[in-house]
Amino acid sequence: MLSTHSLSFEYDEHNQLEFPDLKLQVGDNLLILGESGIGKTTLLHLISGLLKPKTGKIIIDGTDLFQLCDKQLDTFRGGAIGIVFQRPHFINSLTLGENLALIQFLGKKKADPVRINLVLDSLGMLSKKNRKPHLLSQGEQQRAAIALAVINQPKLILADEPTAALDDKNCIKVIELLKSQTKRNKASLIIITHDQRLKSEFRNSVSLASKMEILPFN
Amino acid sequence: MNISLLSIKNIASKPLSTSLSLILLSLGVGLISLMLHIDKHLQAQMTNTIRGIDMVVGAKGSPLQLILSAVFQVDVPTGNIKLSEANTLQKNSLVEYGIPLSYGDTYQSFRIVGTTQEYPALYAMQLAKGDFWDMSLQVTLGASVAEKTGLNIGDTFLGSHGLSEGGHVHEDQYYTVTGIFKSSGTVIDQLILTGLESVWDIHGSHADYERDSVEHKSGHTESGEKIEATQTDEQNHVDEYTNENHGESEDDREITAMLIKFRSPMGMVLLPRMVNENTNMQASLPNYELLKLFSLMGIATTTLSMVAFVVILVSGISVFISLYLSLKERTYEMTLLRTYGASRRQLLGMIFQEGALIALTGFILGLMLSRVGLLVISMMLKSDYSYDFSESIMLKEEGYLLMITLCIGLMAALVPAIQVVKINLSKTLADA
Repeated sequence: MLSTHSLSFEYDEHNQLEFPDLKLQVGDNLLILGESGIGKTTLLHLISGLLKPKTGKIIIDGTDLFQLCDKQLDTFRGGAIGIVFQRPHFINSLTLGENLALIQFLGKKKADPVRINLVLDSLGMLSKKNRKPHLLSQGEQQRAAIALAVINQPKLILADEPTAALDDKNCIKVIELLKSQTKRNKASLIIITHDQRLKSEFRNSVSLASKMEILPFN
Repeated sequence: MNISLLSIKNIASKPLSTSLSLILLSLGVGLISLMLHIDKHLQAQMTNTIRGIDMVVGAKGSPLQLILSAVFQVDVPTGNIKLSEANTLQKNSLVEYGIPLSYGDTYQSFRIVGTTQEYPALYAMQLAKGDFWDMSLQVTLGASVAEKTGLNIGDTFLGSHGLSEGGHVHEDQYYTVTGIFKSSGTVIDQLILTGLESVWDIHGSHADYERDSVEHKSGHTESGEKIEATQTDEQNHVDEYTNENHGESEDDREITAMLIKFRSPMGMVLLPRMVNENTNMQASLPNYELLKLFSLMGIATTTLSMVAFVVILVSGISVFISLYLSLKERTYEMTLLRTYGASRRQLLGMIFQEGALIALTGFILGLMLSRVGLLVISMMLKSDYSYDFSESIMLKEEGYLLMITLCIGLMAALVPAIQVVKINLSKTLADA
């Protein structure tokens, strides 16, 4: 499903990052742990094709990301990858339902109102379909953000610090939600976080260390 | 949901700045469009009014005033000329026809113009009812006059001296309405036409008038023949009659102006100079004077157009600021769109669409505004002048205006669009 090979990235001469090789089977979940500033977000951006690595390659579902031209990459990302950002963001001029419809359009999927209702229903958000998402409560926004990530049935769901701002109870809730949604959509999930609470929730995890050595967990 | 819809939603989600841009834009477009229409209609109307008139002869004075008073019936006359002199000119072989005009009196501020039947024929006037004037103190009304004054066939009224209201009323010399013209959109709609002799009679001695009216009543009198002669064979016959019957020499008869059509272009070359140099009269060429007038009007319309263009430009800046600011707020949205698969081109399309959409909407609103303005002006002017603005077809110049407006909309979107291209996805996301 996902494999990376000798990825490295440099912001400048003093800021070079190397990443361990990752391998992920279809349906697998992976937790990537690391302290702040260690390059977690950079790794996530590399995997989602938002950044280009200095060396190495990333293969998702048989597609070598960096063989694609910009436009193809945009399209591939729209169709194959769903991203849950640290802080939820939406198109403010659209309602939640319209946001989802727009993402279907951008991912080159057919307009599918049934699918939108299905996803919102599974997240308990159907009643908020016609509300502007940025006016929802924090917890609702989090769930709405998950809806955006899964609406196009991506193969890979990436979550960047989804629990950083949440208390224990909500933290577990969100992770459960992510896991169940991933399963429901037959996707793979990668969570990147510094939140040690999540360790117990995942079988597979990788820790990023400053020397970039792989510290296998359990 | 697609990019176009998103553009519309984006515009609709900031009603204040959008309406500011739209108001400015539609004001500018409306002003220019209004001016284009008024300019075009005025020029068409004026050109139409001077059709068939190559030269106007009147008393010495301002040539433009002569044209305005004799052709357009809006200014006061420059004075009177001797009928004998005008007749001499009319007999010139270079002249195809000359139409004498004699005016100075009004009824309820409508001008009473003494002339021959060639004058209404010049504008192809048709009678709605009744007949042409036949005798002295009989009149045929223009359509607007009949409508405004409520006069009908057989009604009588008193003229007052002078072209403004409140002049001396010519007491007990009643005009009788014999006919009413159909509405034609020409200057005649606003006029009361009568024979030349009516004007002479009213301004002549009281005794003259009384004798005249007695003769009129008796029917087959020389005076009746006199009118017939006037209508058929121009002034040369009149001369004899006026000499014989009224004991008044032709030299004393005066008219206000004469409209002249040349037989050949040669007339244009020779006659104006001849008249201006050798007679006490003044020759004025309506074509030439109108060109001068248009170029004067041109300065005014150009200035107004420039002001309107500035308004449009300001609205362009307002569109720009609105797009730019909202884009700053929306950087994260743009990034979101990109991560969900939107290409740069789609986002560019969206920004330009927003600019173009505002421009187009503003343009359409502006056109509507100008049509409303035209309607109001035509309603206002119809009562005072014979100029009808109600036609509101799309002008070619408005097509250019559309293009300019769209260009400004797109230009306003240019800088924001460049910002969008330059968005660094990773950095924006990491900073958030």
